[in-house]
Amino acid sequence: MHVPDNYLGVSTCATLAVASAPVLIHSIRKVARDFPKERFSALGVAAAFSFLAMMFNVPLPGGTTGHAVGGTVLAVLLGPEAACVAIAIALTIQALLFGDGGVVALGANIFNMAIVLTFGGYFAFVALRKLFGVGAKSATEARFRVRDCVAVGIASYVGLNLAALAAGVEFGIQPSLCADEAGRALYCPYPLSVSIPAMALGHLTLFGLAEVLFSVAVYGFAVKAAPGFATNEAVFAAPTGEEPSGKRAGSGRAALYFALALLIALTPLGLLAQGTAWGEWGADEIAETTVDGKPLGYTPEGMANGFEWSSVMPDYSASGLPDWFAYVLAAIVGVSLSVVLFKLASVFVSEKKVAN
Amino acid sequence: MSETRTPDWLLREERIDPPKDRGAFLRKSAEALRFALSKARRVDERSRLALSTQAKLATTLLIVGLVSASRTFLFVEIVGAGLLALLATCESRKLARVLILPLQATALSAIILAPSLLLGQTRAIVVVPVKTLVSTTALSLLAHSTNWNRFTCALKSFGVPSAALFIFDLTLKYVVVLCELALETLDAVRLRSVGRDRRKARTLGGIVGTLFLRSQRAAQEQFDAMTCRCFSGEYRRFKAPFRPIDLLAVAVCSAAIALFAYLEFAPRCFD
Repeated sequence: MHVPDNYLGVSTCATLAVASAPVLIHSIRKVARDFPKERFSALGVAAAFSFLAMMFNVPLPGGTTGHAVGGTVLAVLLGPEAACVAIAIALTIQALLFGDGGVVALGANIFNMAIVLTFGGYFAFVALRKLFGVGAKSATEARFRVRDCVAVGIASYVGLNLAALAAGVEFGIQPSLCADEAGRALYCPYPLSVSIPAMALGHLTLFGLAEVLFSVAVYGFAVKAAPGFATNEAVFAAPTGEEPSGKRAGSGRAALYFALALLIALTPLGLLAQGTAWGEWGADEIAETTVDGKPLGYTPEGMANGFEWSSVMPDYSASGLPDWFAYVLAAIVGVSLSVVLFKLASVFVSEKKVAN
Repeated sequence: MSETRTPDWLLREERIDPPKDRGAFLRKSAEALRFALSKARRVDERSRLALSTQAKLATTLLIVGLVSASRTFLFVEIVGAGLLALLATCESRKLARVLILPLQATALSAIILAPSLLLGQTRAIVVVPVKTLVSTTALSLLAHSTNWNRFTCALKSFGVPSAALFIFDLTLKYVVVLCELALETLDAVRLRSVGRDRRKARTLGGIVGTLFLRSQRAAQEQFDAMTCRCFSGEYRRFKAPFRPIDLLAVAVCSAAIALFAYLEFAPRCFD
């Protein structure tokens, strides 16, 4: 779902960046104001989980691949604003260091995955909870309930497909927005009638399933092994009775770090999926892509001579290193950088003002 | 009965606009000394990685040496990734303290190398600052997770002569003692100087002179005190017990050497 550079026109990228900015600024302000300073490392862990989820590529018959994002479950656990900031940071790291998603198209990717997916999925979760008989504003203690797991699973599926639909629309409107005198598209050449079904096919089936499984697993793990991680006050009430002792809180933190380490070690599984995700082909691949059995036959002008960002580890690889080693290295860098950035942010953010 | 009146001069509003004084150096010097002292005292003895100081020192020096000698940028990237993972385990405030100096050093090296861009040397302006960042981060991590007195032990076990260790040890201790002394003197000068004093800057010479004389006296007293306690100038060789966790340092060193050799020499072997 990562929109690469030169697939969307500059006007589309600028519009989506401008549309994302107010939501992102609101989210950053809310997090800086309301999120406890000592819990900022949890945001880093959240960004790291999302970063790793996006490294596990799932293959779809026909040669394309996709991945989970985990935005909805993070929104449920930490609040939609916190999840939005965490995923935006993960996307920025991916674009700048690993060339996964475009730098010019970063605003579009943040719009799709950090805003549409996160807030869409979260509102779906709140609606489902209401449907299941829990009041929209009544918070419950963070503990494992099948009802909540079902709500998280369905909401994450809805969120992912909303984001995929947004990406499909963005791709699909390009031929009518940007074309040369001969009528050939300058950027993504496929109209809405092709792009939306192509994006929907994978996300309604296997990628959606991957998102559901990842979200339910993270939700179940968090509320069981590290209940301190679930701090969204709109969903989870503060624990009643005794506060968790230092040892228990420490074991929850250790469980989260252990889960991250395990996911890092397993990331090479993401390499098993061969092929490129729909809409993420390289400029050399696009001419050979087929629609209704016919190859496109040309490389759009905007892609052939477009902006190119030279990242440190393009596509999570490094020349001179085996692919699996480079993939694990990229995972370590991504996870560590997410945690370090949020920890540094906590030093610069003023102490949360304790009301009452 | 006579009426008591407030004298006019007491009711008159007086404006005090003291002329600008040239005393900023006192404030700045005091701030710099306080910063140095706070850094000296903030060394966190509780290291997350409970490696022995010898193991930490040897690993850090090896890493810094290999990073400096490396001609492949990939090696620097891999070491940087490892350090980033270590930084991620640090507590927030310690993390900020660890990173301040490396970031300053990196910015400085980038500024120094900026003219190389005009000569078309785009690689140097990336490689040298990144190598600086990685090396100084490794050293900063070591400095912020180890107490200075443990360095003395570690250096002795690496065969550093006792005379050099004695100077090293005393220097570190006296940096703190003299900093405190200088701070007290600066505070005293600042409190005693009221109004405009054009000769304030001259007091700096007096402060430095006093510090020098007191350091001489303190060094003599220290030497006498240590002689009285039978210190012959010889440091005992401290044998740190080898713990299983130190195997981690051995593994990291071995992996770093193997990776360095692979990346530096293997591509040429295949040519």
